[in-house]
Amino acid sequence: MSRLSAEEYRTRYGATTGDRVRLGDTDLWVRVGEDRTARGDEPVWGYAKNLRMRIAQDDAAAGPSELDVVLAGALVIDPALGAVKADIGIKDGRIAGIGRAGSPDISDGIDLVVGPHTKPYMAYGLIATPGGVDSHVHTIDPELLPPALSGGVTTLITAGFEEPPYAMERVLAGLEGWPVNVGLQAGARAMEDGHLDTMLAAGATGFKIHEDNGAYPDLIDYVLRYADEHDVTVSLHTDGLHESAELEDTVAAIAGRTVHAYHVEGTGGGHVPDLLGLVREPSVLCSSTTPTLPFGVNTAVEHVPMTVLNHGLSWAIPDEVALVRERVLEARMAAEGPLHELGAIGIVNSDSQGMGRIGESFRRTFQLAHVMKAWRRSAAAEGIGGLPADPGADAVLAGSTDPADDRDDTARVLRYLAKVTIEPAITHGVADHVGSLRPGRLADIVLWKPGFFGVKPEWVFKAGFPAWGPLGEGNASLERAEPTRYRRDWAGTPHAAPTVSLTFVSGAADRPALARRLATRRTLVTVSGVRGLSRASLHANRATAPVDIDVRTGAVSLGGRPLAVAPVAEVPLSRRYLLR
Amino acid sequence: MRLIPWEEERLQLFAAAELARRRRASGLLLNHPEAVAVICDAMLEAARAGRAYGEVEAAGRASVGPDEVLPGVRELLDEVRLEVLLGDGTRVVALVDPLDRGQDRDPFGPGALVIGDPSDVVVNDGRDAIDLEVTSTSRRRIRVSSHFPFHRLNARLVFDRDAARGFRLDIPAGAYVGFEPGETKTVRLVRLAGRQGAGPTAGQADAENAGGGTR
Repeated sequence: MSRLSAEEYRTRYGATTGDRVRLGDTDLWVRVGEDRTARGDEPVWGYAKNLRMRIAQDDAAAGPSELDVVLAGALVIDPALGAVKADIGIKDGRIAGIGRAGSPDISDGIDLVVGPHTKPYMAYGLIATPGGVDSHVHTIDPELLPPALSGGVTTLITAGFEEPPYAMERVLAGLEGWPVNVGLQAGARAMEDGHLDTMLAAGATGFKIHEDNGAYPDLIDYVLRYADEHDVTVSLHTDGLHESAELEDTVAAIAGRTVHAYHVEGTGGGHVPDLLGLVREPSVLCSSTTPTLPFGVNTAVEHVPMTVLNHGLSWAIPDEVALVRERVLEARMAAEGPLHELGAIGIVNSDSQGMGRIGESFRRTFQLAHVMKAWRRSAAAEGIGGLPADPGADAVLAGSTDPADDRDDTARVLRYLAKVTIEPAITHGVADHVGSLRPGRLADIVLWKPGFFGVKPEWVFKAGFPAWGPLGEGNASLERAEPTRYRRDWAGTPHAAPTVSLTFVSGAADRPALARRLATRRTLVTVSGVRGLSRASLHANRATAPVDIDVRTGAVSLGGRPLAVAPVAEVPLSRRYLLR
Repeated sequence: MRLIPWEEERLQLFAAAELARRRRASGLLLNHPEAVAVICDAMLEAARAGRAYGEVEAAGRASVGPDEVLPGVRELLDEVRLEVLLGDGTRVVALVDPLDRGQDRDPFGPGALVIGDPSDVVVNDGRDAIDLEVTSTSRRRIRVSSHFPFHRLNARLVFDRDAARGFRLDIPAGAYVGFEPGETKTVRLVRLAGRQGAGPTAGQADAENAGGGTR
């Protein structure tokens, strides 16, 4: 046997069971729950290392079943797997296993055999998460793609306004050469089967109902009935004007059927002031969007120009500005964080270029997790029923030198990570492909240096290959010479990207015909099983909350206790990292 | 000007550094990208002025002090890699922990790893172990990595090869042991795990390859 000091072991191989890692400059600490790597036989590549012929490489493994890629020694943080130190094996673009890599010739318990065709990447000291799933993307223009990838987002579910089919074809053609998965939700704008049929044939994965195109109760009922028949998703932005429907009417129109309610906090649009009442409905899968997360001292003031300029209104018409001011309500902004903490709002998405920022979904989700941890420790959270267990909430880890202090924020981190990965994947019927690093899923993996977690990735792998990252000068003698800038890596180059990217379509689409018409090299994948989902179908954010809402102010309470977090003046994962 | 991409990249560093210096002059503490830019620009300018390699490194280290950055930036800024143009052409510089002024890094800073179990980590525990005396007859230094099948080593290392079948060095994965010319020393070996360490027949299958041969 051989001994290493605790410090040398971590320097060589990264964190192991029982260690805690601080995420960026947040107050969030993840504890490694399990270490699956081969202690003593860790595969390491390089000069005088062991990942070589007849050593940690099994030369006889060459063949069709051989792994394509191994990421060695990552701290996997995954909503379904937990916080596990492991090697990640990848085959044909999918996760083959989260386990122990090497050669069964020289190590015990190897379940990820490294062969001569297996490309090893050293991930010791890095965190691996699933790529982000942004389920509220307006594809206003293609400039959204670099920030999405630079923020760790690898799957885009759009939010209407891509239609008509002529325009959808252009958007899909434009996305062809980008390393992202995509599913288009087309705007449902008429109660005509032919209208919806045409959009499914053009590749829509589902529909979006938006008040700016009409969100009337009879349209909601019609689209949901059509969706139930065709097994497709529906996302809903409700009638904020109350022109055709108030909250109760919308709920009645939904009638217990599955629907994804967008920006349920209401600031992005919908019933004023009580859209949040949808968190009471088990069949409504609720998301909220980045601009109000976390609630900050400047959230309300920026929403006036943001709303005016995103919704076809004019500064020159006072009535229109007044309309906007009515929907910017601090009371419901204050309730949004606590409802995320309860798990009643399950999803964070961007609302990109249409009142949201696509590159900030991870960042703002973990800022929110940080802010809500502090809220749990404040008097404001006292007496509120239904809050999930939170062993980290009263931990003071920074400064704790007590080895018996095993409190941590892992459960919190996994709950919030789920909001940008597995919850939207389940909601949109793509959880067999994305949203988790469980075996069988696409190997869309974001690697992070712990200090930069949530804000600037170290590398974005798409279907197992490097697609995006902070690349250095092309002329340099080594990787990552300054100035490092987020750019396409090989799998992200235009001709390679479609080989690592999926397009999600409905079962109603004729995939071969659609592939020919789009001249696509991407894999078209049929989405199914999206009807009948409820809050209980989600992974970790399953709560329904019987809230009371003051219909004058929008103030939210639960069991007689106000649900409110004070606006924050400073957030982590921000100033320290970003040149602006 | 006929600027190649490499020259445009230098201008991006200049612009970021100039912005950062303006902010520093107004009393702001620098963040991570700002500090990196100032450090890089200082090295590039030292190189442009004809300084030697070591002077370029020193210029980078001197360009930003730990009290001129936001708390936590020292911990984020673990390394800077930069290509500079010296008198003899392009050279790479790598500054490790460039904000180090002899103070310890904050053990709870951004991305901190707090060790759960502070005791030593034992590897290769419970495996068969043997001590072997090894003599190097080489005129050159030989280094042996952790998992190299010991009986296949360079024939200029003299030891009981039969006894070494199925064994490797008892050191951490990725570490190595060096043998100086003429040196004799005793090393501890452990039995390989997996199929090659499975039993008395271990290593027999490739016995014909003993002595550092290749297949």
